[in-house]
Amino acid sequence: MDTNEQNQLEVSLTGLSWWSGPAPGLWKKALSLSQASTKTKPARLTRILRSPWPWVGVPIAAVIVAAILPTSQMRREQARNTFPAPYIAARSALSLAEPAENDKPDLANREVHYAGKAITESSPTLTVTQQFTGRQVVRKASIDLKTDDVRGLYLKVLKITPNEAVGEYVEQTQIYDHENAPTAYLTLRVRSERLAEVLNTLRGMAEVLREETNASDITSQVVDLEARLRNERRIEQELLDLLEKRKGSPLQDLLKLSESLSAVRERIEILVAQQQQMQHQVALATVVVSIQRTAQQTKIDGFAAQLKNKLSSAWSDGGYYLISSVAMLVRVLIGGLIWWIILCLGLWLLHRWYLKRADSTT
Amino acid sequence: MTPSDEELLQAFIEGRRSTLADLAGRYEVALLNLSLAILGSNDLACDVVQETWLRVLRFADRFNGRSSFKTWLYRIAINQCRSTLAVRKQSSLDELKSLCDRSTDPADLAAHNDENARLKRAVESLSPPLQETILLCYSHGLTHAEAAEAMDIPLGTVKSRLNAALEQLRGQMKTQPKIGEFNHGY
Repeated sequence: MDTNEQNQLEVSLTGLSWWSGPAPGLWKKALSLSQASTKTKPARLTRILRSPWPWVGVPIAAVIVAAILPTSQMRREQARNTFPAPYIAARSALSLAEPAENDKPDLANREVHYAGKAITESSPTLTVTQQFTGRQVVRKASIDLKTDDVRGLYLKVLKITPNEAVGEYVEQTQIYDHENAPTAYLTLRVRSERLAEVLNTLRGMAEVLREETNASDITSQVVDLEARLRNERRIEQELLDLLEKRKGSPLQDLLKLSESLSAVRERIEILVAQQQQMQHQVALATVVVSIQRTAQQTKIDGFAAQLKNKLSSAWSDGGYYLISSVAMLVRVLIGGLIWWIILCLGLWLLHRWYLKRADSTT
Repeated sequence: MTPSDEELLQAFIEGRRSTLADLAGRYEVALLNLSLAILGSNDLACDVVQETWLRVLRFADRFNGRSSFKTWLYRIAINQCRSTLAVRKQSSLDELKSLCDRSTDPADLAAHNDENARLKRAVESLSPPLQETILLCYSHGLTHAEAAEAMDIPLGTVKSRLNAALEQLRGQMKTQPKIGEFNHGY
């Protein structure tokens, strides 16, 4: 068929009409039916649900909140702890708990050995004796030094203090650099009689920010411990004598004696260990040394200097918070990647189902 | 200035019920033409058009403006026609009924021999997809894009269907006998 016939066909198609007559007004019937069965629907809610933003926005907001909250809490806690843990631990080790009331030795009617001599009388004589001879004292000191060269001073302190030949040693050391402010901590064990000499030496090395000494008298505890030890040894001797005398006794009796002897020996060992520990504490004093860097002086005047410092600090803190938040966000996103994928897939499928359902009803 | 279809619909949603009469005046006859051509029955065509208006009233607030009101309306009508065809399934009884619907008056028979009548029969004999395409693009003046949206098919498919439909129509117009001629020839 040629072009003319094609055009004629198309023109004929354009003019085709099946319905002859006026419009019967079917829309009125539909309107009345619709009004009869009107249900109140929250159109706005439907629009919101059809929109993809709630399905995407809520999970994103949850991720951001989850990332920011822990970071800010961590930062607050860190700000509170202005000293590092080892320093706090070392400082708390300075205090020694006082013995409780019921731990005080009952000196009445007891044979007590003290400083190698037997003392048969009870408290008044013993007290006078204790005041002037063989007192057992645990000594501790802490000193905070300030210097420009923290590492240099740290090495100097290590070199000149503990004399290992006399049993002295360095118990703990730590040196680190936080925000360009190096700090060092050392815990030294030195002979008690050398404590004053060591402190003098340290004072001469750098500027002293703070110094503290502490002495705990544990004489009564030592006396009590020795008394108990002595008694346990006597009981041990008595049991040994009894075993020797009663060799012919029934086996059950011998076994009971043997058990009692074991228990006594165990107590003796514990007491001996405690005694040695106390002797060690008394023999060696503890010195906690902290070394900090001298604060940098600025030549800018008061308010301007403060403003500059605050802004600088705020800038670096803000940057730190931002980096921490981003790091936390990355951690949450990558760590929970599989769950995020499943969640997004589920939401997308739900959204598509909802749209399809809406379209199919039209 | 004549308000657009979308403005009339928005006014209807906001509560001005009278605007629906304006929309109906513009489209009801066209919808009846479309439905009657596809379904071949006046009653069914009226049912479909009424159902179409009912859906427009029910889901007017969901019209989001992604397409024009015209294509949205035609899409609803096409879907309703398809649903009706699927439900009725063009049984032999229905075919008889549709034949009976057509007039047997000699004057009408004479009218059937008219070129337009032959063309109508040729269009009615097309398969439903081709029928819809031809009707929307020619009888109802939709563009190819609008027709594609109304039928929910790609634009390329519309064009290929149009070509196929025109080819079939040309063939049928050549070979289709006039009713009187057939009877006399026998």
